[in-house]
Amino acid sequence: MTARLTRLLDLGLQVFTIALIVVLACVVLLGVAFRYSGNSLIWYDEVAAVLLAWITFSGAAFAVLRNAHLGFSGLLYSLPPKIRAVVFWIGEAIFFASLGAIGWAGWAILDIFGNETMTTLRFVPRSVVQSIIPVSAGVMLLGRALTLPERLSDLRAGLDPETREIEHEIARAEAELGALRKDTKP
Amino acid sequence: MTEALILLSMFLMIAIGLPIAVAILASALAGMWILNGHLGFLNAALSIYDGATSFPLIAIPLFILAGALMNTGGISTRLIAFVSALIGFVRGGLAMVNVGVSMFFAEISGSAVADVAATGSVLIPAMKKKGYSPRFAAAITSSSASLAIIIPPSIPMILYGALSDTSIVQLFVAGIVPGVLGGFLLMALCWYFAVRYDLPREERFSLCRVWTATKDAAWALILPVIILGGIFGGLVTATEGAALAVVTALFIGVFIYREIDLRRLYTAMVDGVLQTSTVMLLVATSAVLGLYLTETEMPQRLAAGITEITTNKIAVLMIINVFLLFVGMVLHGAAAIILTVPIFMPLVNQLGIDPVHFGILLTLNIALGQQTPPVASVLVTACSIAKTDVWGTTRTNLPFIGVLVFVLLLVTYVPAVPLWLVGVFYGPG
Repeated sequence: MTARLTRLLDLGLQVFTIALIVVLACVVLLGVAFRYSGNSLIWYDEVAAVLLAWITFSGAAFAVLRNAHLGFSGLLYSLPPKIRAVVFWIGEAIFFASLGAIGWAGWAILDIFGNETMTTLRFVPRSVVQSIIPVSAGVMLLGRALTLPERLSDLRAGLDPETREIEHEIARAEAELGALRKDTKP
Repeated sequence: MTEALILLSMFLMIAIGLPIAVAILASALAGMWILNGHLGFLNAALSIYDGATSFPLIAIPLFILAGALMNTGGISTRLIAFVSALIGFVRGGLAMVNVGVSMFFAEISGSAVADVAATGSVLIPAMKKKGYSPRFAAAITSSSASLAIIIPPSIPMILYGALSDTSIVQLFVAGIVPGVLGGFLLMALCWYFAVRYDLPREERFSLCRVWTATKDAAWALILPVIILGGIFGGLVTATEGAALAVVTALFIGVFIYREIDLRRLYTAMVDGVLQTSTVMLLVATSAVLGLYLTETEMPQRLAAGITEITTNKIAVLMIINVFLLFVGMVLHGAAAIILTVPIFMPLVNQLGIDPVHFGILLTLNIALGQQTPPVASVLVTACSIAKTDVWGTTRTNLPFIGVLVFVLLLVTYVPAVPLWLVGVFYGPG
């Protein structure tokens, strides 16, 4: 059940964020094309900036699920197992408290916006645009909770995520190289 | 005092393995709470959103996406073949090929780890086979990949430009001379070691081979010309140049080299999303920390404190260099830029240091930081590929680190080195 939810969330966030990046690239290219045609798009800058914010926060939620955020785990993994476990739980508590606080604050400010809209697209309410903060904070908390058993088991086994990432990158590059050699073999 | 404790708590949280972005957020929230109670949290929510909407930063996901497309589109292997045909005939040629490829590849993807994995997995085994020691192979791969971050387009420069409100295009131009100079110095050092240790040549020089490799890599070589030509020529902004890079890399991978199938393209995009969002979340959370630091006026007090000791630009730049070197040893590149720029910019402005000059200095320090353990992801990746130890490789790497330090000192104390070309392009500042 948990694994299925993780997979679904992973897929949903992947597709959503990739779609946003594709739309962003198209918007920027459209902006250039229209500027050179002498009819600059007035909404170009504002929409691109909103898209970037949405990419940031939905992608950040996806990265939580993949445990891909930049960090330094070397010291944690060099600690004796018992102290390591205590430090790990302190870290988790800080994670949940901070994301919980920003999620709450993100939700609370939506009311403050009232009937405000985007400057160039008057039909888009500011509250909708800014709702990405509480929503993504909620998804990040869910993602962190879903990956907890796996991270805990890695912690107990002493498997440092940084080493894992490097091994993963090398394995992937070698696999790509192998595929390329196979493709180009006469 | 409170501010120092807040910053100390942030470093402690990073040390215990919390994601850096969350450590920044947690410490900034604590600071905002102390200053303004729960209203501080509301300000933080507004600030974290605004932090992710800076227009110049749009270039980051687009360049990262373009880099991911290049990595999976067969561009790196063709660049290796091209550079190998061009300079492989020199003694120690393969080490020079390594430097040359890094200069071409120029860390467009924003992830030095992914780039080292892509080029290192081809070049390091080849170097070992030819008799280079694994430590030497790992050291030169790592150093040249790090130097590449000052050659445009460069994600660290985009980050710095957006955070300090400095022209990203001018930063790109300023990086060319020190980047190329550093590349040639690394090559010269490779040649010296090649003669000293009798390292082999790749193969004899052949015009025919150069021609074939050039033809094969033509599109890969045209890519930076289109992007940088467009940006430097003023036809497109850095952000628009990044969108152009995505389209061109996609076109080359799908229609010219035909090595990106849909599955690979999707994988490349997933990687792009992860790289973008991890860097951008750092930017967004640092906006909250920036807000806190601004309210406490800590950067201004730091600037005043340092200028009380000395107002000599050379001395101040030396202090900054030493500080950045330490920060680079314990933090990832993007995090180091994001944390130090808001703190140092008031000082830089107060002393009248050109922000473009400071940007190149900062980027070079980041490059050095990627070579200095314990946090030296590029070096660690190269060592993993070469199957050698990090500390031993660091000893072998010292002469190459020396080159990076030399370029850093040159850039620091001879501002004309980075700024001369900016003057040629855009007139004296």
